[in-house]
Amino acid sequence: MSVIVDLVGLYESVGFSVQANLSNYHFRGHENHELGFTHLFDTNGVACACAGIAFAEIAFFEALCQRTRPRSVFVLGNAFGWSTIALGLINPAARIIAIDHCPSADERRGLEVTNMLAKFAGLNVQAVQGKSPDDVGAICAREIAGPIDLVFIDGDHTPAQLTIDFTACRAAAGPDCIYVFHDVLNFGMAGSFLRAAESEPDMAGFILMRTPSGMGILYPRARAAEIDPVVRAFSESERRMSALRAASEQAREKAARAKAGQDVGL
Amino acid sequence: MSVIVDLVNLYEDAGFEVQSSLSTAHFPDLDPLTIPFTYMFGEDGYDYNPNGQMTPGGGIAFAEICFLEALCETIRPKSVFVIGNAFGWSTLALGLINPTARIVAIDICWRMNEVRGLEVANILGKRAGLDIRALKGESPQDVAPICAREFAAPVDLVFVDGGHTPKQQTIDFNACRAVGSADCVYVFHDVVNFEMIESFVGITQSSPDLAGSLLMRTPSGMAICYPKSRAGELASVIRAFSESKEHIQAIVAAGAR
Repeated sequence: MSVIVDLVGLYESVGFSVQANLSNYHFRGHENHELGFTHLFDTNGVACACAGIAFAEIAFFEALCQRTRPRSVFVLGNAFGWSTIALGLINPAARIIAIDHCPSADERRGLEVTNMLAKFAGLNVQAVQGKSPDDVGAICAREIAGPIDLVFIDGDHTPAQLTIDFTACRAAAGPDCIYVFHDVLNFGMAGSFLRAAESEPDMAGFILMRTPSGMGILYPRARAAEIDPVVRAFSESERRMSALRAASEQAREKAARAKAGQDVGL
Repeated sequence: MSVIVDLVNLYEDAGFEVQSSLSTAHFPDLDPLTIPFTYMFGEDGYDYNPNGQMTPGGGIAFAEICFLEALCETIRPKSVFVIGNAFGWSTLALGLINPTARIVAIDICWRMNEVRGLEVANILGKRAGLDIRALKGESPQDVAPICAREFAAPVDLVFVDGGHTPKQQTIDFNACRAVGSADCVYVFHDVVNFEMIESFVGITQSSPDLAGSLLMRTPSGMAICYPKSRAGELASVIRAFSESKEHIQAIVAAGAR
């Protein structure tokens, strides 16, 4: 069953207040979709500017890891450790290494909190300061004994950095590794993700439309039988996507007609 | 671990196409009341059938399945009663989450779509080896006779997802309260999205032995009502899926600015 309750409880047990998984529809006046993700607060306010993954994204990792059982996980972009600890709880027997280049004191504190919570929960998690691409190879070689089985890329959210992060991780990981990317759609990184997929003919790539951030996944085609059912459950069929695009287009045209009618005083 | 993959596969293996849990950020022109929820497509020839859509009502979202998983892991219900089967998504989700429980779902079946929904829920329940019965029935009048006939003991968990009006929500709760065990937990779908908060507050206030909470971390704004005697057992689950008053106030204030 889900690790969500344990994850929230873990942060709250050490005094953080969690805000997570809210709907914009319930809170008028919030145009962006940050409310759908996870924010941690302490007595001074927001503990870290970066948002953590949403509940449905945790459910995706649960489904993926239940089938692939990674023994080692590498997380690029620790922030305040929400995803790192989630992956640790989902994979209690795995070695989890997370890095963050710590652009502010918040992320440095995030590393400390992550390591403290991991120890508290009895997880084999280590969060360390490190920058991609420079430190990825050295940290992975030092911290992970075998090949990396699962990589979660949630670092700097630019198309160029996504490519850099993937290339660095690809060089450090084994041929069977699975790569999951956060925020691919929400941060306009779909082009970069698709180019990464095209550059790897032995890998299959999909955008997971049923995750709030529009995550992406790349995995060896040799593992399709194991992973395809999970990908299918968390992505939308091309037929449904076509229908949704058409419905969006119709809605836009209807809104434009209504606005034109208003403009001429109808 | 989550039943989401098995649930999607169950429908897809039967030839239905699932649309589920999309983000309004990715489809800003479409209705925010429908995009986050679950719809089935695949058969033609019904009164309500746009593009092969099987029922108008949306099934629960993935994050709501996560909530039911967390809840059921804690309370381990032996019997579950669902008002509002539609196309069986929630009924089957509850069956997969509670594979040893008896699950009974009713639907008023306004259209042939929901009649087909009962058939599909029963077929897929059988296929998955679950103890599921989806039946035609109307709340409140059919609740007691159906529960008396279908359950050996009072009900442990009720999921209210029927007529989405404040009045009907109260009627559904009162009907279910009469068949629920003393320890029964009641979960309500769409309370915030369909403006049924007042009715929900009335339900909790009318039952001094029950506590209630809005689950703001669910896309429809679900709610839960449970015996105060079970508060300790349920506290961590409810905390994980509801939002603190302080955060809600801060978000509302920020939205007003």
